[in-house]
Amino acid sequence: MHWGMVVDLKLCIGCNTCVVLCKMRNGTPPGIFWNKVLEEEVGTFPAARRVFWPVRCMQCEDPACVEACPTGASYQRDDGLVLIDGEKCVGCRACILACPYEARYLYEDGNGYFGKYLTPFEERVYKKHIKGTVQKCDFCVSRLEEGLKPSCVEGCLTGALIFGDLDDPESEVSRALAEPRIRLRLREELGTRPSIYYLP
Amino acid sequence: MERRDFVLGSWQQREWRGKVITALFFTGSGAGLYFLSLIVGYLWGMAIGIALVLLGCLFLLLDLTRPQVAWRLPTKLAKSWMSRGVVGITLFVLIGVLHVLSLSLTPDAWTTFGMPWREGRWGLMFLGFLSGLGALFVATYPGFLLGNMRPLSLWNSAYIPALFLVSGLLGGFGFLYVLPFPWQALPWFAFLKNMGLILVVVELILISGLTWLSLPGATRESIALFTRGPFRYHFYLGLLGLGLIVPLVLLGLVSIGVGIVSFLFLEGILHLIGVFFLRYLIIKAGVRVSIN
Repeated sequence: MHWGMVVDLKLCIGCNTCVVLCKMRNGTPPGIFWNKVLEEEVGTFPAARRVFWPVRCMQCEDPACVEACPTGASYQRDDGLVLIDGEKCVGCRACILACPYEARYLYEDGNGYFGKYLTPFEERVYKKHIKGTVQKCDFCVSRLEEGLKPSCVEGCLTGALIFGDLDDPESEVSRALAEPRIRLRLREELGTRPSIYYLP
Repeated sequence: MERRDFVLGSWQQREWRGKVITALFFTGSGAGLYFLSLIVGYLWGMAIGIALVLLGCLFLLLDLTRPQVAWRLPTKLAKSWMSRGVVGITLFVLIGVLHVLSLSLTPDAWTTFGMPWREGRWGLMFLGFLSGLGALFVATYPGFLLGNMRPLSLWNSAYIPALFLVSGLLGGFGFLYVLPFPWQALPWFAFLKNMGLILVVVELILISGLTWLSLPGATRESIALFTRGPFRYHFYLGLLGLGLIVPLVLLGLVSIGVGIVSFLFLEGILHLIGVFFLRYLIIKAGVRVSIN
């Protein structure tokens, strides 16, 4: 079992639904985006166009963050998921610096969207965020354990995000990767072997 | 070059700032001071060197957002350079304190130069050897720690550990010159002076290599930040001018016997300025390229 994702860039329209769904599902504090959609302008007029890159933690097979973490707070499970044990996090930020994908954020001040006074929703969802610790996308691990897909995948309007077991040749991701298309992983030169593939 | 979410580009890292720079300054210079004091058998220098390393550790501790779980820091020795650093510093401090305490049992140890190897005290010599290795490790390991950060290509440069070592030793010279060290009584004064001179030249060569020979990409962007960008005054004035070139001239004057004591004090201050700015520039100019 190796959880992975395929992003079909031709289908992504940059609507940011995945970003909003992630915010709703995980209740991330202000300024923290477990996933985001980067915009890039390519080509020149009249052939200029925009490309959207949905990015999140790449759940690398050789995660630089785990290597940098001095306390074991960042760890890798057998199914490939790279997770953070907030109780062990000391807040040194080495993992943020080591991550090539800027996927990690420090929850520094404990504030919500309206300052230190939390809304009832924030009071409920912020319980899982420990102040002073680093956090990032976990592929909605609790949903996976219920047999569901991550929120962003579930809600993607165009089906640009495909999720599944990379080790299973019959899975949706494996079939997408088997298509005769160019596929790439971000910043492969750093040797992190991400579990998210992009189909340009 | 501020980071903006949702846009592709290159950003300066913002995670490690003032406290980390100060910590690197004190640990590097403290280790350098210990090492040099060990060579000349200057007990006060060794004790102050250990105290400076501990002061640096205090700044590192203050930089953590959850220092209450700092005891977990040395638990991932197999993978993390930060863990290795914590263990290395702890061992250095323990062995160093033991060494200083053992040396201080000798009569007049605090007022004369004690050199155990001259007196055939092998146990002390072994402790001194171990603590000297520890000091060199403490001065060098930040270079390897920074090298662990794969996306920041300036920090991945092979020049960085060498620069940290050389500039740590220069920081040691800085504190040694500032302390009321009885230079004239030291039989190896000429040797030490030449060693300081060589270290300044080596650091100049390393900095030249880093700035001129680095490959295009994020490293070049980092270098541009301090050769043409917002840190140019820190680089040209702080590091190159005050930190290296002026001390080189002063050392030249000392070599021909002009104003020895006052020049050495000034030399020490300038060395410390240079050591601080080197760390400031390396940390501040760490540029990361986003995903493209």
